[in-house]
Amino acid sequence: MSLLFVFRFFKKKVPSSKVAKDRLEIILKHDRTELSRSEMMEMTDRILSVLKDYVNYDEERAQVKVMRKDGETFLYISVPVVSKSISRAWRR
Amino acid sequence: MGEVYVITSGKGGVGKTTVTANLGVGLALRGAKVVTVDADIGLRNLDVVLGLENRIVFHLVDVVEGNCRLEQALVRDKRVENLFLLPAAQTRTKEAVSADQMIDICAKLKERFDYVLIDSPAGIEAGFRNAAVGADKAIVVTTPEVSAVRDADRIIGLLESMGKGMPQLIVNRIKPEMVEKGDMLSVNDVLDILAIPLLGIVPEDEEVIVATNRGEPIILKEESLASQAFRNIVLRLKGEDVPLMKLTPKKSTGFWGKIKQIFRVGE
Repeated sequence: MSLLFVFRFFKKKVPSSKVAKDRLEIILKHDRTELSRSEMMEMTDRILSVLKDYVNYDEERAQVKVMRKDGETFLYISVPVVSKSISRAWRR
Repeated sequence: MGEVYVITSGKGGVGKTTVTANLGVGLALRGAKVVTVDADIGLRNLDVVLGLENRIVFHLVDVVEGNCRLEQALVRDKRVENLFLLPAAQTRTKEAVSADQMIDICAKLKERFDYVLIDSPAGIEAGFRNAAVGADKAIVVTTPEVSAVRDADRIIGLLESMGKGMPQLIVNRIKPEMVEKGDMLSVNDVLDILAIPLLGIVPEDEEVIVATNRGEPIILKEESLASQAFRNIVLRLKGEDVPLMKLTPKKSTGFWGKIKQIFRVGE
């Protein structure tokens, strides 16, 4: 049984292919936009701060992605909106 | 009128030359008239992979400089009918040919051949641009590695900015065992990231090294996995709808492999 436990333990590690994919997504974000890390962070902060004035969103999961589709590069701003009724209730 | 394809990758060593040689042989075996062009001036290798290195008299730069006619520089493959090579110069540099001259050569070749396959040098500089400038379509070769995928992404952007449309992708040197273990990017991971149409997948196959040693492209050999993969790609280039080959991991062997298999059961 202890051997099984050891295997389980190793299985829990994040697969290196997942690490590779995550790293690539970050690298390509900069390559595709030709924006440095700090520029990208600044842009993201500014976009999100504008959104904050209008909607209530999950700050942990809000992100800006750079994707390629049909030969064009797109910025995808993905912001999970938290129920408006709740946010309105809080404002009152 | 034929079609001009550039085979490129950004990163070196991912298999551009092997792909060019095998697709060239494969298309010719299917009855097409094919010329493969080595655009890697100064670092030529397509001749060696095709096993035609001893038959070169003139090369691309000779044609450009008017030392010979285009026909004189074409090396005919004796094993496969209708397959030719336009070799690169070995003792010159990339600057020996201009973009306009490449456009001119491509235009002349596609009048005579069904397929013109240009093997691009690695990099994103003049050599790559010259290789791509006369092409109608592009094939990007990558391996499932962070560095190769990153460079492929850069090349895709450059090809698009050159107006070459969306290139097609070949994922080369896949190791199914590693993909299964989660230790190699899968074809789908690579496609998610690069977002271009997939032309084919080629498994890692030691036979390719043996074939290159002998100067006999693997596609001439019936039974190897990589050979089957290249034959599928050839058919897709000819417009046939061929399903992707199934890459099944080899059964784990040895003591630890057996132990791991036992523990994998029931998960």
